[in-house]
Amino acid sequence: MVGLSLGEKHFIQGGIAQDIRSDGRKRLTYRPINVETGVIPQANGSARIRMGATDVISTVKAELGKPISLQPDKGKVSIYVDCSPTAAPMFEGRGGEELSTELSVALQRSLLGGKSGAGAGIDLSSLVVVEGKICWDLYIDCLVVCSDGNLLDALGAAIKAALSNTGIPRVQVAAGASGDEQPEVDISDEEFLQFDTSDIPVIVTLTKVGRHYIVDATTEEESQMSSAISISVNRKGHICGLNKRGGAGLDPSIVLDMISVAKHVSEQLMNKLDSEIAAAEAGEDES
Amino acid sequence: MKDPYTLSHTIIFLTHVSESRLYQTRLDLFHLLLCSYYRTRAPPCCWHRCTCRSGAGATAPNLKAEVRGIQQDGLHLQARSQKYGKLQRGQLLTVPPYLVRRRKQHFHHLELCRVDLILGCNGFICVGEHVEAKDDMVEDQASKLEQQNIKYNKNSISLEEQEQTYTLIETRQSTCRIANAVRVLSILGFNIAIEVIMDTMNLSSSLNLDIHEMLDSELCVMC
Repeated sequence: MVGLSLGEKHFIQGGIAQDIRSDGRKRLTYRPINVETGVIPQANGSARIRMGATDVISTVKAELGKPISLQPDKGKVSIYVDCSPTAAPMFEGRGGEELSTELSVALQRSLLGGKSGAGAGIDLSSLVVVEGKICWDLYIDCLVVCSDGNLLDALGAAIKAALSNTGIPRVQVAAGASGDEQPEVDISDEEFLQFDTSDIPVIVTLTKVGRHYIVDATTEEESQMSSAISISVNRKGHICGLNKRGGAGLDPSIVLDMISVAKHVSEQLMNKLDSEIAAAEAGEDES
Repeated sequence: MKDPYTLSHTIIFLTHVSESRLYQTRLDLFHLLLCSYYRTRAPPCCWHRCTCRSGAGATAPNLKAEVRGIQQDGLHLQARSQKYGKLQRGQLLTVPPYLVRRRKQHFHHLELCRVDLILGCNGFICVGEHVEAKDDMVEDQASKLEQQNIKYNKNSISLEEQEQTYTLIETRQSTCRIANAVRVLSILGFNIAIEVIMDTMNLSSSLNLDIHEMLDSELCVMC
């Protein structure tokens, strides 16, 4: 990552303190978000999100599998993030692996809830075909094409868009299967079930620079941060996940303040994302 | 390594030169840094960014200097008059180098906005607060710089002191508007020249666009 001179650092910190950032945004303003869905036709669902220069692609692939014996009535979802070496110079070779693992784990905690599946943003019981025997496995893969800060928010939004674009094929189960036999299934090519994505939370990352918090930081602003908190909030305003990065410690009152600011910002972000996703899907249907 | 191009009087930028070497008269450091980067025959406008290998990256300043010529092992730079030297507060933007044409004048001072604009041939554009070019003796400047160094190096510099030295809001707004104008022009592929930048700025002001809205597609369509 290219470093900054003292003059530039001073300018960035001053901008954040005076509520005019380097590109004129206010502290709580997002960059223009551009959503495209259906970018990868071979996958069950896909989406590409651009927030300024940050560019991420997310795909969802559904395969039939066996549910875990502890939770026979739930399907399985796994999230994996890959930071492409083209995204930033530091991702060259194996440099991006650490960040990829960190992002994957953060996304899993925010969107999938606990180990028992409780509190997941995605309703796992809708993925089951035959209880105890057959369920859908969703593999969510994300690729960071270009990194300019605020990756977690972009990835969360991309997963939400990809899931709303996902169509799961309808499955006909042959009747009369008994005992331990695997039932015959017939996957139809024509009919698809759309996924219900209204409960999926959005992730809002608040970066603390000096005394103020900003939303949607660019790489230069992130280099000046003392700490950052990523909060995933769902439509009801409940917090589904919390993640803190950065070396500086935070007073608990500041953490609570950041959480309330994130809740406020997440409403606008959720509405904006929903309208952009709907527009993207409508555009895709027309073409 | 032979270079067929003549490069006199080309303005370039360098980053991450360590503080202690700033006032050294012979620019050996630049030779060392640049020879490793200058292995290919790059056209005159494409200067690579140089990073200081001693690891002073975190606090090193940006410099503006003029290229005098090329020697076999590197570049020969000069920074002799007061208008060259360290860059003060501002933003550094990168645009593709072919969008910046060689002109007679690369340093622009915009009176109305009190903003300095420097268009580097290597695609680095600096927009910042206006700094008066001072004509002090070298020793005075060196001692002033030492005082500034001490201030910057102290970890206990408090936030209040820093806040007092932040730029004015109007200057910052103009700086951001100009920077966004440059960003829009580089996205659209226009040549970056002072007239075009001023036109874009005036257009955005006349449309009453907020500064951050300049980056939306509407202004792009109007251009």
